[in-house]
Amino acid sequence: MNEHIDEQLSALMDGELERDQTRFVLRRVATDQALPLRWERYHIARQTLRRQEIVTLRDGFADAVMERLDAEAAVRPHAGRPWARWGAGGAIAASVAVAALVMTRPASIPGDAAPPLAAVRPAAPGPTIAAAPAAASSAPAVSGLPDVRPPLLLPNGPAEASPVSFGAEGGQVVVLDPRLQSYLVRHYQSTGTTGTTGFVPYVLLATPQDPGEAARAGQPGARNR
Amino acid sequence: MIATSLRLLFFLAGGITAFRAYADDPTPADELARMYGAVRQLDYQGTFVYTRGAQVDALRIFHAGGPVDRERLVGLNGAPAEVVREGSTVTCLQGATPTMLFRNAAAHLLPLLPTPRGLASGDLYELSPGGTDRVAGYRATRIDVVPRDGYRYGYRLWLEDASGLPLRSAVVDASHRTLEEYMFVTLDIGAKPRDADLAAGAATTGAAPIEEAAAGAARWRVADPPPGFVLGGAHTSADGVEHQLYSDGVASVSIYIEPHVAGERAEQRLRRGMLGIYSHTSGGTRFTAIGDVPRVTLERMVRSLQRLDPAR
Repeated sequence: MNEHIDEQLSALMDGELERDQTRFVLRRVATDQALPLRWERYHIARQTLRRQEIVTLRDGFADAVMERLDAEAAVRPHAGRPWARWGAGGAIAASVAVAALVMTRPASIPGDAAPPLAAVRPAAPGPTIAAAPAAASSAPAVSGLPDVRPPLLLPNGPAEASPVSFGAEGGQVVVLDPRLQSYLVRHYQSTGTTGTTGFVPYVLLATPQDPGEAARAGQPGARNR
Repeated sequence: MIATSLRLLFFLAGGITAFRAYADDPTPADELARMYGAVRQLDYQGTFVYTRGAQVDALRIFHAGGPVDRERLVGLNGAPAEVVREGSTVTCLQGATPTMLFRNAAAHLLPLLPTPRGLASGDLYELSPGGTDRVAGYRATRIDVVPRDGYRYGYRLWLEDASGLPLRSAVVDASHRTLEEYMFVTLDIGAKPRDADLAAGAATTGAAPIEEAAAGAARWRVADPPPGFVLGGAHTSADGVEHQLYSDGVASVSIYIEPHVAGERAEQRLRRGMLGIYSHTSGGTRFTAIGDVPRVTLERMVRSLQRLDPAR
């Protein structure tokens, strides 16, 4: 039961719950004192990984949301997969500064063509991690292994997942879509909590993901030692 | 009585010989064991550079050893950000709001150090000496962690001769290309940091770590995983996405399985440093693998996924 309510809390945070389920979870939040704390744990960790401002759960949160639900005249329209809805609007721009969320695309992989240029759009204040050199992003020479290259792709990926080029570095940079961002966060959470797997790269949380941040370095109160 | 004494003498002589052999010529495994102890137990503070791809960052680290060791990692370029650890509790400070992020008993803030679990057997990785060098003014011995196949990355570790502290570490692929690396440029071993250097700030938010539920029966299995990779857990989220975590004891791979939605990209390969992502769509299902492994590993695992019979 606890696992189920945890999943529903997580889904609620991602905007994945339908109206009736939202009401159910909010009623649980109002009666179970532990649930708001669990919500806060999920929320803070995700926001921290996304380097967004932390907004903690305030008193009366559930009541306020229930009132807004009651005030809504109609059920919200379904707009595709939940992560796609979450990623709409300004969410992409807000999330691109997250640690470990900008990836480079291997320069020359058969069957992995770049999306059409028309779909490429700058993501201000977008990701500006320099692309890895081609040598670092190409696959190692592995002898005796089967050719595991999958067949073709289709180039109609979502616009928010389109690569953005940075000519100075001569490579492509891709902003992870919200679905992959979520998966990456879950991956690190799992490796960090199971105790049986590799290290968690905490160093990524202390290094800038946006070279433009250099201009903001030296803010008042910063401890630069 | 005499025979017993002789046996005891022989045993002691053997032990002394073994001890002298270790003291004179420690094996790479001995060196690694000493490294894991040094990272936790020593007092040190210094500055290192961390590179991944074309990005170079500078960080400062403070570490106080002890039964509950404490450390703080401070980014020196870009927007202020730091990570503080006290024992198993890791707190991240970005901007004005410190937040407790993880609770991980095996946590340490120095990056790119392979976990010892997967190295013990020697089946997947081979330890070999890599010669001597000099890093941050210290004499160092290099230990190479060499994978025995192309399904995982290798490590090069420069360990300070006197203490065993890792002065430098690099992750390399099968072509010996460096994917990620850190290297101390200044280091003061034995210098105990002040309490102020280890503080996470007074207003730390007391949030507990997230723990993804491990329950849930797997509906898919990797039929042909690369050698050594075993399933560590499976979980299905409320939206129906199945998450499986595999590990060889050093590297880990997450696999996500979900229904494919028309219009989404069918194939995707992404890489940054040692981290790779591979997504593949087949039969209306989308498979995504994420891990610090070569692309060939991600693709082999995804392409050998088989749906389990519900009746089993």
